[in-house]
Amino acid sequence: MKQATQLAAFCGDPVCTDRAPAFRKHFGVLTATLLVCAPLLTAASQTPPAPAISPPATAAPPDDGHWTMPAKNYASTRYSELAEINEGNVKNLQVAFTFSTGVNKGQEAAPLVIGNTMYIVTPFPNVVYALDLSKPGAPMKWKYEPNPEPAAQGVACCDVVTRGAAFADGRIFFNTLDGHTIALDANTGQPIWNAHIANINIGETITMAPLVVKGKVLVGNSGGEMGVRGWVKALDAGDGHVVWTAYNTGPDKEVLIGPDFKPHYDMDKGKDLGVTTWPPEAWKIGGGNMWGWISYDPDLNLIFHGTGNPGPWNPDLRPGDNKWTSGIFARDADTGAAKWFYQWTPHDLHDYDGINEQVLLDMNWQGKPRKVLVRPERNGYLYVLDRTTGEVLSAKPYGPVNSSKGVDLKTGRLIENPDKLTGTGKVVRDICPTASGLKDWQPSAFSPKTGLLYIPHNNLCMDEEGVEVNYIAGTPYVGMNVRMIPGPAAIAAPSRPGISPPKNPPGALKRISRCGAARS
Amino acid sequence: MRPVIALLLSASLALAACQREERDTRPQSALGSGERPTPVTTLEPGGQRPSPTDNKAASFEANAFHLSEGKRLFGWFNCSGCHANGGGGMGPALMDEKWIYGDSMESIHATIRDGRPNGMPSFRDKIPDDQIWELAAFVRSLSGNAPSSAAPSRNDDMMVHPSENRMPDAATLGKSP
Repeated sequence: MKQATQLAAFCGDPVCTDRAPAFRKHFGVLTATLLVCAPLLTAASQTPPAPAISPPATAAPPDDGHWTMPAKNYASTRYSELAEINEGNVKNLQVAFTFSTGVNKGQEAAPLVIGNTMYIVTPFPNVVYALDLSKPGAPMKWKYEPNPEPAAQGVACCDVVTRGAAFADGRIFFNTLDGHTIALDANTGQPIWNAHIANINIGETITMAPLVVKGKVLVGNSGGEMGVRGWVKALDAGDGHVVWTAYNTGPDKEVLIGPDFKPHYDMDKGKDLGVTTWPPEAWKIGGGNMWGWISYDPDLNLIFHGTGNPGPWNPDLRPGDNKWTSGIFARDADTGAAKWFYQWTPHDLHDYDGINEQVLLDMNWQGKPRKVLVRPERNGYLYVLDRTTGEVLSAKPYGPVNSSKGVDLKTGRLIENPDKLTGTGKVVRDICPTASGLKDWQPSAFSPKTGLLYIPHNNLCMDEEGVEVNYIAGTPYVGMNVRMIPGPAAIAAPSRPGISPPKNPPGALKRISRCGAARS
Repeated sequence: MRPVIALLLSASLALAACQREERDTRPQSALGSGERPTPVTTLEPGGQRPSPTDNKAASFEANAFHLSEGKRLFGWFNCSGCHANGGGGMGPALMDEKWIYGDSMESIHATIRDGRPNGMPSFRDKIPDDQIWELAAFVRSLSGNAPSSAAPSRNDDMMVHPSENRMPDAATLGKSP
């Protein structure tokens, strides 16, 4: 029980669960919690020999000093055990070298470091650089220019970014904006294979970082704002051929839902829900893309990936739960067969993609050891799921949320706020969080030392107005006017009905900068 | 006498106001336009080549009906998905003074019809030609390049910028009178 309360401490203390008053001062409360509960955990973890909360050893092996994937390890802790830099010597750090990617666009890709080489992949035009860290100034060893189609920039909804590369078996794997997955020889930069798997003419791009699991390169597509049907593909790491494709909408057969599929909640049970929870044919242009992060549990042999928002944003065009969008799948790593699914946001109204990172942890929950995954979700809740079944153990807001009123732990369903329902010709104001979520793709990190999850999040709200939209392949399919505004406690914004500025804005602001939040 | 003069004056004003804007009630229904070349640059060796103009441009440009149709089509053909309501997003902003491929009606028409290399798709055979001209006229109005008497007025919904007929006149913007 003691350990159970520890988790409660990092996903929201009792103050946070009192939603009405918490809304006003939530941000300060939350970040204060993050800082305050650290000593609590340290004190508690002195009693048991093993840490109370830790990633599974097979998914997060001891640090070998390399950084082969953006998430550091399959458990996605993004935590380095290297300890050479500490409080005592951090002041001596100096710039060792600088390197310009030459691209003045969003830099969302964490560099990889394998041995003495650093690998960088730039936003479009997706140039890969290898830098020799053993020499002063880190000179370039090689570069590879894939020359993607410039026209791809016209169907990249939200900047022409990439979220990185992955290293495995002497190869660098990365995706290009125009829909190619490419394998390079990590030593020479020579291309080994190049697989064209997404089509810009229907609005598909690829921005996510691939994950290499058991000789397969896992890749998903982007295009939730273009009416693109989402999928995840597994490519053979040896030659790039597609081993399996799992769609995130449509008939069970194409979603790879078979006899092994055992969702925890009734709302996710039924035949061909990827078709029947949509108006006729709408699933074909319904989004549910996979442009975020994948985790892998070697013990369960499961991969975990989220699914993006349904399209279009205007919900009037797609009555129903819109399976399997804005949710999370557990799939067999070899075959892609779905094991379970949970929908964070059924019939999403506000572009709450479900593609954020999931951190795999083992912990005691109400006295029993559980294999969980922790997910700070765009809809504003920090979810703790049993990763063997998809059961929601906890779902508490980690910032200002008024688009929903909580998560029903019996049915697993998000409780909509009827005041924030959007639709055609209707202006709804002060919806929190905003379309980019209380937290967007920017991943969090977990420290086994402190037991804390470090979450970079947004504090923005929005006004929305549904408008008419027509589907034209390869063009935006959104149907929503959006105006973003600062969230409560972000800055001393003019007060608006329903959202009050905090009582102590300067302090709140300080905490924001300290936690590195409020980044979009 | 005075009331009579006033009456005459107001009557003549009212009559003058009755002059109706020309509107082509039977627009060209054919998809696609003539294969008239549109220059993508103003740099011509020697400067001898006359830039081709299209006589359609003038008839669409300052016409209130076509401008308001262009505004409707701007949403219906998903232009707003990339260019927002002129502020830009996936595509460049249209309410500023920067024109990557030229600010003429012909250039904008060509951009919509044939696309541009860095992401503007080609809508050839997707949008009837006259509607492309209407879109081009509306796009120009977003940056104050349409007479305020003809440009669309306020929206009935969330106002994202001043209505097109209240945009500062691009011809005099930033210049002393």
